[in-house]
Amino acid sequence: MRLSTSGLTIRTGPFLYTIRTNLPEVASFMGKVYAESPVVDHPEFSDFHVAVHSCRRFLQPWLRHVDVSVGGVPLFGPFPRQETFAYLEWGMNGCISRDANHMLLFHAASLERDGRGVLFLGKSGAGKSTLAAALALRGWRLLSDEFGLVTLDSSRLVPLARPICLKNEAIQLIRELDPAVVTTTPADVRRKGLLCHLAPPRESVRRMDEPATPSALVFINYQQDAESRLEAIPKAQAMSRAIESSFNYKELGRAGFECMATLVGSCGCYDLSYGDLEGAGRVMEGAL
Amino acid sequence: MRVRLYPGEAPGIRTWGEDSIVYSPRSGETYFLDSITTQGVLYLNHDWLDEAAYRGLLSARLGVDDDEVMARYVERLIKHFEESGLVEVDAS
Repeated sequence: MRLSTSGLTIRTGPFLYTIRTNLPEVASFMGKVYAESPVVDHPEFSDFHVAVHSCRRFLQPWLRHVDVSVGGVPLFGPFPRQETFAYLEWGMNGCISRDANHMLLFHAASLERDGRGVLFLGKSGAGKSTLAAALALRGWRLLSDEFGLVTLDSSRLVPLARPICLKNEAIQLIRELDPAVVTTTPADVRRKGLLCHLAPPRESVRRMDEPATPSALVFINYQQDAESRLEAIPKAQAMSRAIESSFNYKELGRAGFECMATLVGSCGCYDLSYGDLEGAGRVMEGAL
Repeated sequence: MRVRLYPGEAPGIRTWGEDSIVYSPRSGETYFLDSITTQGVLYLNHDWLDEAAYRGLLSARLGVDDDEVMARYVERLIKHFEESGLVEVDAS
């Protein structure tokens, strides 16, 4: 009921999202993958107001479509209703990449193991989310599968603990690792294929107010049947590549440079080539 | 010819081994510098580029002795820094 009226406000890491929708399946989605996220009653302030509503396209009024808006401004849509969860998550991601410029933002997966934070960077399709899911199932603390959020003053990694997006073959791979994982039903999303969301581990959500000290920057490269291998790379090269993976390095100017240089200077920098998730996990755990 | 750092906000420079990353507050751009150019950056820390010392470096590190080749290296270095907004050239 609240979702369709005043909205439901949840906290993920440092951000408050107020979600409003007239779609019952969104309520089910929230209940499944945001079950552990704290709900904030009567918030005085919310960082992002996200609305997901059904709509009709002029040219195809018989089809069920949905649009997503943030702060009343349309962001995505209309798109087929089956793609709702994907676009809701992308909309929530877009809020951060567009507005969270009080931190240095990376397109990366970020996790922590034994007090050591790791940023996994790579191009779209490199397997960051799949690797993040696999490591989370091995007991790593998930910070985020989509973002590396780094504080400008202390260069620490900030957790989000939101659902992990899995695509195509990755869905089956992760289910084989743990058949009991909680995921949404896969949906066919245009230009992406099959897509579902994996609920973040309860422990990750419980500890989402604990930043992590970064220990390694790892550039990942999946190669089928390849032996898993971790190789150190020069720091200046790592910084150049990390800059390419940042959403807002340039906008931050000097502060971005200083934060990035501190991050790179304090971390080991590596290329990770891997052909299977088990091997990648073993190599990373051996290195930390 | 002399080059010197622009007055005002100093560039950000981080050097690891033989390579550097330089941030120019003037242009807002960030540059990766290879080992030879990095050495030039280090000489810039003394405000004026000591061209003789830089040529000495080229000779020692790369075995470059030809005046014309050296001049091209110097020109490339200065051009790189000018484009980055790090230096101004005093052609006097």
